[in-house]
Parts: sequence; C-alpha cells; structure tokens
Amino acid sequence: MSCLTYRNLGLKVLGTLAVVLVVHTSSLAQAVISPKAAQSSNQDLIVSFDAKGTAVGWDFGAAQALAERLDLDRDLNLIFAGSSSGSLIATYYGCHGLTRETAIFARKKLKDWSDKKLLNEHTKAKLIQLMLGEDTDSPYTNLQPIVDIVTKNGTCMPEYPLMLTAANMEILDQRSGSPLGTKANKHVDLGNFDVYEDGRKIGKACTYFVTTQIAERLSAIKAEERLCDVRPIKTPQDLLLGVRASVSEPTYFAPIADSNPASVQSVYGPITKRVYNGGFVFMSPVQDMKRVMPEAAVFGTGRGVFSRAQNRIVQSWFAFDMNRAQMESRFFFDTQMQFTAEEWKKMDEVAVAEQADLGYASALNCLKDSVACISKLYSRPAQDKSASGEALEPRTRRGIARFLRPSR
Amino acid sequence: MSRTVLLPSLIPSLIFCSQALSSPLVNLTVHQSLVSLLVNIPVVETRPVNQTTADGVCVEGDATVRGLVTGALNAEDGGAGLLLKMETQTLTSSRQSTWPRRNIFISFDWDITTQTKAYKRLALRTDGVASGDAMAYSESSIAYGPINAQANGLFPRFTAAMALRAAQREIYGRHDQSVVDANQSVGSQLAASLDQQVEAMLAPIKESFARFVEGPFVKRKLLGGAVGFGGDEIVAQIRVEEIEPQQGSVVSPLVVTELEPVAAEIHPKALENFIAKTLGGAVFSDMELIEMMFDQALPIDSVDDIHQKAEELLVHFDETKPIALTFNADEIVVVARGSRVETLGRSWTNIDIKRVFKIKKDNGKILLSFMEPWSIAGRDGSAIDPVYSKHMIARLDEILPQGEIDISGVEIGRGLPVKLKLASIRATDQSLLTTLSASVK
Repeated sequence: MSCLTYRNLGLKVLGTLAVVLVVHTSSLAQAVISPKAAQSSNQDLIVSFDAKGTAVGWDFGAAQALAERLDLDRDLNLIFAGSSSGSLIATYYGCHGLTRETAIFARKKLKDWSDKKLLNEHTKAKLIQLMLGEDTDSPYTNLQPIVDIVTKNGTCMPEYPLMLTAANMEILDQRSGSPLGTKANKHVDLGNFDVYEDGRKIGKACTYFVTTQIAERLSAIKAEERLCDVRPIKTPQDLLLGVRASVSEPTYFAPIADSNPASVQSVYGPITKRVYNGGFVFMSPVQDMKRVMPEAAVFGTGRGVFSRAQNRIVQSWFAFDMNRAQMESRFFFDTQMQFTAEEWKKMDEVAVAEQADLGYASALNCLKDSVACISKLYSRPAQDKSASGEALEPRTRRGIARFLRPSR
Repeated sequence: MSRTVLLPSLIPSLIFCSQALSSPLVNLTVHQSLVSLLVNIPVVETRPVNQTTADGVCVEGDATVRGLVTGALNAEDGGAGLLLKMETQTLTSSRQSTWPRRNIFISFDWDITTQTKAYKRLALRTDGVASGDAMAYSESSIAYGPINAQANGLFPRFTAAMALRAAQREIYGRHDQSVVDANQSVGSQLAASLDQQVEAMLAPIKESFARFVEGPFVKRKLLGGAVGFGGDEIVAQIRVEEIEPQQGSVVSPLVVTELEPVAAEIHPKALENFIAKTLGGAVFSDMELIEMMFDQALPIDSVDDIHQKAEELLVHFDETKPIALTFNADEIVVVARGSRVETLGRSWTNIDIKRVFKIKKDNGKILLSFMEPWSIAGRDGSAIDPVYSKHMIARLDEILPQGEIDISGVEIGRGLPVKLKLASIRATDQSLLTTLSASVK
C-alpha cells in the first residue's frame, strides 16, 4: 500500500527553528550557485529526492555528502526533484540552495525532527484500521513546522528549478465499497500515464508542480507523451500546494483539492476539478526532465521496491503499478543510491538523525564510484528517447564524476 | 457442563427484543469468574493527615488504607453492568491532636479505625461506557489515648487540671459526632479516590470501545446486525442480531451454554458479513496473500519478480459475498468465491475455491485438520480443466498445505492482564461455539 511511499515523515521542528533557519540560510545566499534556466547542457545536474517516507533522514545525509563532493566552483546548474516526503527536501534545497552550509545546517536540525509519531506508518495496523472503517489520516498540521522551514514560512519562490509530483486522485480512484475492494474499471498506460475508465481515456495520472523554467522545458515534449499535467509554481502558495499535494499519500494525509484547477495545463483540455493524493505514482520524478534535458546528469537518493501486497492494494485503489513505474524511472539515472536490506530495515528502527548518518555514509561511498552506484534492477520505459528523438540510453548510467571534486 | 441462565424479566428495556427465538449472529458472554480475575486490585496506601476538625481540633498523623477492589456483574438497564466494590479499612492514627484554648493547651492521641465500602457502577451500552459517582458507606470506631493539658498564668496546675476534666468531658461527649465526622471524611475521600482512579482507568477503555466496538460494529454494523449489551449477576453479554431492537418488545432469554470465563457463539453469517464488508471486491494473487498472511515481503531479486507471473493465481473476490461458510458436525467449510480467477493466461468467472476444516480433539489437544484437498469448480458446478485446477491447487497448497494444527494453546487478547486461552471449539448446526479459559499471568 502507498504507506510505503512514506515510511514515516519523522520531521518535527520547533516553530522557532523555522525562523532561525530562514535567517541563517538567507545569510548564506551569497555562497549559493546562481540558478540558470538555460537549454539542456552537460552542466545540468538533476538531483532527485526519491520518496521514502520515514527514511527521510537518509536524504538529508545524502544531500550533505553530495554538497561536500560536488565541485561547487565549476559551472553547475542544479535542478531539484522530489516526490512524497522527498518533496520536502527538494523544496528545502530549491528554496535555500544546496551548499555544504545549508546541508549541514539542515542536518543539524534533524535531531529536533526525530518524532516518528507524526504519522501513522505501521502497515498492518493501518490495514486493520481500514478494515474497521477507521480514518488513518494524520493531521497535516503535524507537518507544518517542517513545511514552514522548507518554504521559508510560506514565502518561498524557489530560486532553483524544482519539480514536485502528485497523483490525480479524481482520475485514478477506482475504489469500491469495501476497504480493499476495487471496481477494477480503470487502467493506466505506463507508457504515457494516460488513464482509461471502461476503455475511455479520461486524463493523466499525475500533475507536475514545476517552476517556470521547468515548465518551459517540458513544453518540448509532445503533450500526449508527457506523463503528467503541469501546474506551474508562480506564487509561494502554489509551492505550498505542491508540497501538500505530494506528501498527502493515501492513508497518511487527507487528499487536497486544488482551489484553482484552471491553472493546471493538461493535454486533455481545461481542468475543472483536481484532487491530489500524494506522489505515489513517481518515486523518482525524473523521466520527462531527462527527456527534455538529455545532456543532464541525474542523481537519485534511491528507494526500495514495494512488497507485492502493498503494490497490489494501491493498484486496486488507483489502478497504478508503483513497482513497474519505479523500475522504468530507474532507467533515466546516472547514479542512484541503493539500500542494502539491512540499511532499509535499520531506517525503520532509528531516529531521523541516525538515518542521516546512514545516508551520508552511503552517499560518500556511492560517490567514490558513481558509475557503479546504480541498481541493476530497472526496465526500459516506452519513452526511452529524448523529446527530440535521440536515444537516451547512452546518456544514462554514466555516473556523475564530472561534477565531483577529486576525492581525497 | 452446561446451564441456562434466564435474564430476569424485570429488565423490560433490555434489547434483543424482537428476536425472541431467533439465533443471534454473535452471542458473546463473559462470566463473573473472568471479572473476578480481572478486577482484584489490592489497595495499600498511607498518607499524612493534617487537618482541623469542625470543632477546632488540629489533627496530625497518618492514615493507612488497606483493602481490595473487586468487580461484580449485575443487571443494568439497557446494557451490561459491572459494580466495582472497594472494601477498605482505614486506620487514622494521630501522633498528636491539639486543641488550643486561651492560656490552655490540650493534646491527646487517638486511633480511628474506619471500615468503608465504596461502590461504583459501570455500564456498557451501545453508546459507550457509562459510569456513576462512587458511593461510600463507613463505620468508624475510636480509641483515645491519654489526654494532656498544660496551662499558663496563675495557678497553672489547677487550671490545667480543671481544663483536663473539661476536655475529657468534651472529647468523650463528642464521641458520636467524631464517629460521624470520621465516617464522612474517610468515606468521601475514598469515594473521590475511587472515582478518580476508575475514571483514569476507563479513559483508554472508552477509547478502545469507541474504536473497536462502537465504530465498526455498532455504527458501521460490520457483522451485519445490531449490537446489544445485556447481563445479570452471572454473565455479561454482547449479542448481535440481524434486526434492529425495538423498545418495549418481548425480552429474549440469554442462553449461556458454557461455564468458561468467555464463551462465544458465532453464526457463519456474522463472519460472512464482516468479510464482505472488508474484503468484498478485493483482488489478490496467491503470492500477495502469502505476504499478507505471514506479514513478510517475499524477495524481489529481478525485474521479473515485480511483474505478476503467468503461473500466479489471481483471485478477484466477489463483491457481495467473497467468502461462504458452513459450520456443521465439527466441520468448517470455507468457500472463497471468485468473481474471476486467473492463471496461466486463462480466466474463469464465478469460481468457488473450497476447503474443509475439521475440528478434532486428541488427548486434550484441539486440532484443526485440513486433510482434505482443495476443491475448485464453477459456482454452477461446472468443472475446470484438470490441467488448470491441478495447477491452482498446487499454488494454493503453498499457502495452506494439508496437515493438522494444534490450536489448543492459542492465546487471545495479549494485552489483557489475564491469559485467555482457547478451551474448546465446536462447529454445530449453523454456529461455531468457542470458549476461552482464563488464568492469572
């Protein structure tokens, strides 16, 4: 079940920290590399904070290792992508920039974010709750302190190109009367994320919340091939909605309706109703960005696959095969961190700050040989060429050594 | 052993009314013996006493309370009742009681022994757990120690002697009032203490009741019927009936057939209703069912592992009746009803997958035997090509092979302060009768 997209957003921050962080990071602004929205170039590095729920601390550790190893003195265009809990981290770096200072500062705060009770994460207990007809959603206010930090108290317009994703619930939903029941009347074409109801095409499976630079770049893809609808982030409120849309996974937080659905750009005409329910359709939302930026390198923080039963439940509810989509998204990476079974298990047991230690050590190790640091478990997607028709395979799985300082 | 308990007919508003002679979907009884095990809480408490009585005596000392809280089932209008009884003896020993008068200082010791019985009523009804204020009844006896008097001013010895005599008259003269005061003081304190402690204990119980009983079974009717509570001095009872109870109808008898601490009679319809409301319309493959049943993810070592394989058995459970059950002569027949079943690239509609379980008793053990193989056929009786049915059975055997399971040691309710174990299970004509034994952990 989609519970796994969200292992536990154990992020609790005292409200006062938000102020401290904003003040601190604004003073670091001078050290941040200036963003560019140029054409695709080999200076582009897409950093994907892959959805991983409670293991979110891992990504902060990984980000710090990346910041330490990246050659920040060279010409480098950082682009951030995030899904589900990863959307919070992508937003943090999209708003504050990725530097050693911002990464260390965020990590230092992790000890204050270690309350794992913010979310209802236990899959088996949730299943029982669902069967008994109980509401499993946690109040979104639980996340507000961390949202305040990553979005600069709701005032941030991202300085860096940013993409967040969320599922279109009103399009995907095929639940029937019982908690595990399905009408089984919908089908998603994973080649283009078109959704069919009783054989009739009804829309796209998801929406990209993207900064205008990314929105412009995505326009290079044929609309019918683009996997998600596009909702440009034009105001800080758009960003807040994007974060909430991406973290509001089924059974974790209540779905959120878009009060301005007309701002969603869809190949299927004007959108009059849009309800988002989490980023479960995209563990790693990089496919379309790689297609419009074929020269870009892609780095991901990684995530494990779902169990068969969990994948089935989400498929029953929302007609979406998360594991297949994840295997296909892995095709586009140059480097993507991997979990050992022990690491993944351990992240369930340790506090967020300790997860960061694991992520940090793993990322440093991964970046020693970034070509080898990638999963062998992946599959070729239907859209395996760039928007202009070039084969992407030779431009993937190359590592990101060219962006790194020589290791000591 | 068996017996029948008839609920006193003087409880006219008891529910389960219109179903006078029908068998309930669920009939769960909890015997007084379980309550005696669960509610047997010793009270030992010493607290300092520092108070001034109404007539100005300043009492300093200790009060030691010793006693026991027990529970007794009782008849409760429209619910299952429990009377908590706290029987205590409080010994209030003053180290020094003083009674200052102008120029005279009276001091004395006394021991007050107060026997108190406090009661608090609880009732379990469909809308939750209700409780009344605790009531206390006390009886005190007082033993006085020597009374001393000291005086200042002229002729202090004489004055003190006079004062002592006056004080003795007054103290002894006030004996009856002092007994009344002690009864009231100790009684009200213990009643308040009982209220406070029980309410604290009740908070999680109320929450659990709301979550696990009221929400799913009373409001959402997951068992397919209306829930009612009843009881008398021997058993508390939960019943689920198919038809809504109506006030003022004939009271149906409570039939209890077992003397074990917990006995349950479950009609197959209750389980069928529950499964329909939770699993109806679900789709699972045999591999996914294994993961769910054993709470363990099977390894995914290759990309192929994430795809459903052709050999997997995929069952689309029927929306309205995913499982059919029959209980008879210690046999439980389970039929999983698939609106569609798929495997090896073929699919079939309206397929019944049947398994027969037998309850056996062997040397005091209770065994669940499933020696008979799976049987798979169309709901209309049509057969499936043996190539496919054999394949399906082989897949299902991965989930549940033939054999016997000893279920006599099965424990229920691990969070409870007592150990509940399966004591007996019988499948009779249209009902499953189970009892649980209880022991102190």
